[in-house]
Amino acid sequence: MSDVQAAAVTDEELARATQRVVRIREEVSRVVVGQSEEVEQVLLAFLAGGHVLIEGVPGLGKTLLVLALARTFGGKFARVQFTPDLMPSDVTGHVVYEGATGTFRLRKGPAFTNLLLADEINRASAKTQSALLEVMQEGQITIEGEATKLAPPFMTLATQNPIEQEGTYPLPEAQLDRFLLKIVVDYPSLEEEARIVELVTAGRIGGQLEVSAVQPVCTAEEVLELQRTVARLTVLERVREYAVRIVRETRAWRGVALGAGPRGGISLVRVARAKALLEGRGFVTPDDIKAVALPVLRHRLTLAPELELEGRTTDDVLRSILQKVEAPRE
Amino acid sequence: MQLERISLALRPRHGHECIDLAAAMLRSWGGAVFAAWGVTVLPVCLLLLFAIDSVWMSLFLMWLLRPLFELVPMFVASRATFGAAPTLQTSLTVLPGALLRQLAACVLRYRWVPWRALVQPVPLLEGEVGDARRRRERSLRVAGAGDAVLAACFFLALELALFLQGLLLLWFFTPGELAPDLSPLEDGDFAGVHLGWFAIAMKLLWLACYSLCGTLHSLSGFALYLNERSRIEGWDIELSFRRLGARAAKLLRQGAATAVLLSSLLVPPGLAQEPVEPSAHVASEAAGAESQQASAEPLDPASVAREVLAHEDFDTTEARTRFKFRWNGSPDASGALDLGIVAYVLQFLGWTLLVALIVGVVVLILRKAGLVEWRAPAQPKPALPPTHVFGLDVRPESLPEDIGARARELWLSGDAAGAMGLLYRGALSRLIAAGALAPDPGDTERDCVERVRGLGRAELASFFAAVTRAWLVCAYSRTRPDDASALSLCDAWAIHFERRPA
Repeated sequence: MSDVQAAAVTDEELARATQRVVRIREEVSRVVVGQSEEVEQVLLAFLAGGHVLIEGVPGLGKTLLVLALARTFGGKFARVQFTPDLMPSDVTGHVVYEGATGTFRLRKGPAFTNLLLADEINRASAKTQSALLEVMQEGQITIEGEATKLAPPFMTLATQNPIEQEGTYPLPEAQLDRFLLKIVVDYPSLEEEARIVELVTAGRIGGQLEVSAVQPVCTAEEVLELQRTVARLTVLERVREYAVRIVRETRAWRGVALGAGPRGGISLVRVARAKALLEGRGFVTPDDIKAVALPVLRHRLTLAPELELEGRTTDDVLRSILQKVEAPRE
Repeated sequence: MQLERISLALRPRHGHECIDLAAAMLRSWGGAVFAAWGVTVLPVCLLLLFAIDSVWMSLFLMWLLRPLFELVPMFVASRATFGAAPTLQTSLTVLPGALLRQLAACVLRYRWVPWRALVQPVPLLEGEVGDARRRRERSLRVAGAGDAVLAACFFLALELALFLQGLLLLWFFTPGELAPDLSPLEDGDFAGVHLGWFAIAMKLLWLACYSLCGTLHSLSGFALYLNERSRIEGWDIELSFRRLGARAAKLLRQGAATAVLLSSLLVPPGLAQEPVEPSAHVASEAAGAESQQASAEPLDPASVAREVLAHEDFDTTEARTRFKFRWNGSPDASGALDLGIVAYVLQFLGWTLLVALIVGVVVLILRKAGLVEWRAPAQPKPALPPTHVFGLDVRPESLPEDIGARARELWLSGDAAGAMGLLYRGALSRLIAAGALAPDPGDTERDCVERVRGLGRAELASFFAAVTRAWLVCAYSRTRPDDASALSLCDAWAIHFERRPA
């Protein structure tokens, strides 16, 4: 088995990509105060061409983050508030008959965008959830038998509220697996929160989100180039093996009812590549794998009831696994 | 002994009936019992549970003093049995002194006797000491020890069951955010568990269970004691006779008065002075009087005893079977076990334990007060540094003497990975040998850098980070750092690390 799957990234490509990523990050940070870890994880998923599931209470700047990210590359942004009566066609679109011309016209749904914020995805019925998850997986929408490719880059940021469970339809494990990362957004620190209040209330009427400070720094095509660069970063075999060993350990770990599947290992390597690019490296180290293991794997594990009763979380289990699995050495 | 004042129905009871009787006593005199318990035992228990840092020490002291605590319900019940339940003031006045007098006996003797609840009333209530106490206790335990041991086991089990059930109830109804974190237990780290408020709740819960079960155990022992004494001394028969006698005397008095009245009404006046044939009752009274007169005359006790013993009721033989410990060494003539030596050994052990305990408590107090310096614990032998870490051979002898110079040679010869690998391996080896780094199996390069950064030596941390970075480039990217930075790392080696230790 070869260590390198594709042509290695040249130093110039790497420098250009790194510079571009740094600028995107800087622009997002202009309006999103604090939450550097969450911003980084969203960027990782964006660079790796995946989708993220964000868990956090309302009002933590999720919409603002997506708006700002869309603005950095001049992309389109759409938001869908998921409710129990939301139909699949409300997300994907539908065909309407126009009496004046006597033809059928495609009315595109909000999924025809670059960044889609699916707010409270677990409030919609399983049917609607499936429609969205199919879009995420295939990157295309089929309406009336006609498939339409989505314009890349396409990324879904689905949110769910961890505190309200009544009247929700929890995502099944198979569908959760399609999200590249699960990001847990926590409350900001005192200083960050004070800064947020200051920014949002200074000279503004109402609670409008203001992202005019964010300047476009690249185009959608350049974003695709970034994603292609990430996919070509060097990952040695032993580093891949390290990722696979971590994933396999989740299946054998005591107290884990269902471990991560092969998609977990694939996702680990994809996100680790993005992490390496964020740090300006053209190669992936075991550190990158370890650093992204929690957001990549936390939604792919199902704990046994006894462990849940003890109050242990998947993050606790993953930390123990990471401590146990030996990192590769030369 | 004023048996006529006794407020209990005296009759031969089985062991389990004595436990029933204990429950009935607690229902009747619960107020007095728990009041005395609350002013004497509870403060001591709270002090032991909350003022001593070591949980094990406080539990041990509680266990040791249990026989003493259980005298309190016994004292109250003994007074209440004869119709004089002590007031709170009486308990406060009498009990401390009585308990202090019994302290040594409870700790040294009764703590080690499973049937203690049966025999503890002997010194407390009868005031017997020495041989008299031993004889009395022996006579009590002949038939009552088994029941007393069973009662002790029963109440101990009940106490444990109540405590565990209460604990589970508390645990299940504790909100998740308030529940103590038991996760360190999974790694066997008992010291890492901080129970916080839950520990206080556990102690209070246990105290409540003990207050109930300890009290019942003590009262059941007292009931067994009453039962045994009643059986041995025939209290119930004596009481029956006394009541029978009282009733007969009353009837006699009524009969005599009736006879006098009738005779005065029916007999003609002329005959009034003549001797009258006494009626049956009067005759019997007269006979009684004669017999009293006769009994006043000196009798030979031996002949009376022979006369009584000649009755057929005293010429019966009854066979009873019971289990008895066989002492193969030196059984006495009657076959009974002589526990003298065992008792002395136990007593010696008890005294030794008490002295050790007192010395321990004194030392603990002196240490707390800062008057005594605790001897430093023996330092564990320093563990030998590992020879291999992450699959790398980090033994000093496996590395060249001058690592920097050797790495420079390798680099200049074109072996970039070998040069940077040597620098990294050398840095790890030196840090591990100096005890500055102890990496875990799951640690990555970044974790090691963070650990070195935690040492507080900025220059060393910076150099180690640079070596790690250079090594990562060689190891994972199939490229090499630039010559200048690599050679500067080789040259800087000697500044941060010494040559190989001899």
